[in-house]
Amino acid sequence: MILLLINIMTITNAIRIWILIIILVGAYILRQHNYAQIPFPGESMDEYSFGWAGLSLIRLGYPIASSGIAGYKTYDYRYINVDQIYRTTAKGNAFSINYPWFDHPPLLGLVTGGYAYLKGAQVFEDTQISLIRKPMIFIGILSVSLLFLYLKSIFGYLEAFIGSIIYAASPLAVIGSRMVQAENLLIPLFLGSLILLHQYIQRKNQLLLWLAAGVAGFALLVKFSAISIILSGILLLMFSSKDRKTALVDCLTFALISLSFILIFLSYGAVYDIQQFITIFVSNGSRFYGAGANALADLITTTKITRFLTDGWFLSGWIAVFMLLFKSASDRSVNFITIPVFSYLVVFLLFGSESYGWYRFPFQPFLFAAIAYVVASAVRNYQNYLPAFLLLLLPVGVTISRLITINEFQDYASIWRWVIGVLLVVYISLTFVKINSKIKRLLPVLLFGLFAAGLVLSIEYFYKITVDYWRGTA
Amino acid sequence: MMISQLARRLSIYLAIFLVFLVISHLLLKLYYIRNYSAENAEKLLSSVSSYKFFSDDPCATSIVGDPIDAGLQYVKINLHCDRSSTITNTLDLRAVKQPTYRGLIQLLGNINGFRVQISDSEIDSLGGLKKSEGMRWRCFTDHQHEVEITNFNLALKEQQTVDCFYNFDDSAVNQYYDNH
Repeated sequence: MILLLINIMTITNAIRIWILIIILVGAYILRQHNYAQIPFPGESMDEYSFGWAGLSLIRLGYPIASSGIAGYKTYDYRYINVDQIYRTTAKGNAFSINYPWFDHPPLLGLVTGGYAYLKGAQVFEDTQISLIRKPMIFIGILSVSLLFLYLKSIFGYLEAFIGSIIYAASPLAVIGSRMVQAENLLIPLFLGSLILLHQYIQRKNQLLLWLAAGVAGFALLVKFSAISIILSGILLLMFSSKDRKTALVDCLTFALISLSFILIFLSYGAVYDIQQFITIFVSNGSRFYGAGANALADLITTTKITRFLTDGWFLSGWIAVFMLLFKSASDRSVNFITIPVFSYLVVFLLFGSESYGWYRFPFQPFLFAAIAYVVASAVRNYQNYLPAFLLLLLPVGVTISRLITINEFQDYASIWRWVIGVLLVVYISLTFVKINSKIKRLLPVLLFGLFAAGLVLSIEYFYKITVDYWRGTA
Repeated sequence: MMISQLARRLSIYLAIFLVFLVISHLLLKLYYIRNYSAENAEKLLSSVSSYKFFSDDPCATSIVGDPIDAGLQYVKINLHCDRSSTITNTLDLRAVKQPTYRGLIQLLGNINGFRVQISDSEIDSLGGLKKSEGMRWRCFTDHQHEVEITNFNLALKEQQTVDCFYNFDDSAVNQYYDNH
């Protein structure tokens, strides 16, 4: 009997591992498809700038890159026709090259510029997008696997599979994740720090707390908005302990260790020109607030990267996060989704001077985690079916509308009306009526069917996003 | 954990961290001093990629768009490879590090991907279009047939336009300027 049980457990674990491998392989296949073409090279010059900062640090020990920030002593205008951008996206403007470049800490530049250097890049014009985006693909896959680990350790396998599958396949997440933007490196560090923090809260092993703080601090060497990771850690520690004194000590430890990493950036600045460093630091904080007062509404209602790209998973994610806010009193584990979202929201609203799509990337894993939580809770309790059904209907409907025109849709309109109408009536009834266990077992099949439809449609939509399609988007 | 124990651990951490900070600062400074020179920085910025494809046709590609960020500090250079093949380029004058006719043409070659051979007084070749018997490059400025460039080391002026024609005789150049 025991042997049989062990066998079943082994088989179950093997199946889980295989599903995870399939998710990660799928994430890779999607992320590497047209990775050097979409978004167009040069649509965001930041991508090259990070690579140049890293390459110049490696070759000269001195950060040289392009900046749009006021306050630099040197503005050196240059034509660097990497990827033939002067035939396409550069619009004739020369790069404003600044040195020593202090727009951001150097870690992402060292990753992408370092990879380009190892692949033979010697000068700025060598840092082609096909080189510098390559490490981002692997960082994106790391983020998917860390989201899986995060959700598995907090909630369970079901949430982990749902959340990581959405993250692996959402067109916006796929296309966004391969861009050389600091936010894409912040995400795995954010998740890594929170995984360690969750383990600390479970086991009370001080080493885990220190490691969590170290990872959060390390993220400060990617971009200063990593302060949101530190804020998340402090809030989670505060809310997870009933003993105030312990919570305070933990928070102080976490804050002290993680914030100490700022000194590394400061010391880095002092190597070259501390006065320039401080000027740029201050200038970064007082940039033109281009996002405007509608930043929050814009964040929730629109989805974009360098151009607008409609993806229903995000709106579902935001709705799911708001739903989770009402659960935080009864289920404290949801704090591990809501607190990171709102910590990053604080930073997004404080620092988010422009409404660039990549400023929103760090929300992605947590929004998908929220969807996963709502769907999994519906699978476990049929009275939660209605919200889960509506959440999944959103990406399905949005993606269908991207795939076929409104006239083409008329052929399916009656099916849509009746299927959705009947299912809605069934799910509304389920909220109030008790049903027998046989029917109960069948119901998750419908929900998984809708989830699978959402995924298939998302992947189909992703493959529809060709160079010509991308050119046609606003 | 006792607070005093934690305080001791944090003090040790900070001490080790500060030592690391000082050492990393000194190492980076040393690395910078050993590797940085203005000459190396210039090579990094302005060298053409070894992967770059150089075309025989100097009119194969052009700079698309105008450098709006440059304001009035721009120069235009148009290449007329034959009667039907012309490219127009507008460059930010601040990015022309050698602000002469020669510097402008060499920079254009680096950007658009064609080889340039140019002496003080004339162009020897742009891409595969070389000076040979009866065939040569002639450059004019300010939309005037009378102002032929004979000294390519002369300084550029803001908003100046340079036209270079390959195998155009006087009447063809005149005709071009009459029509433009």
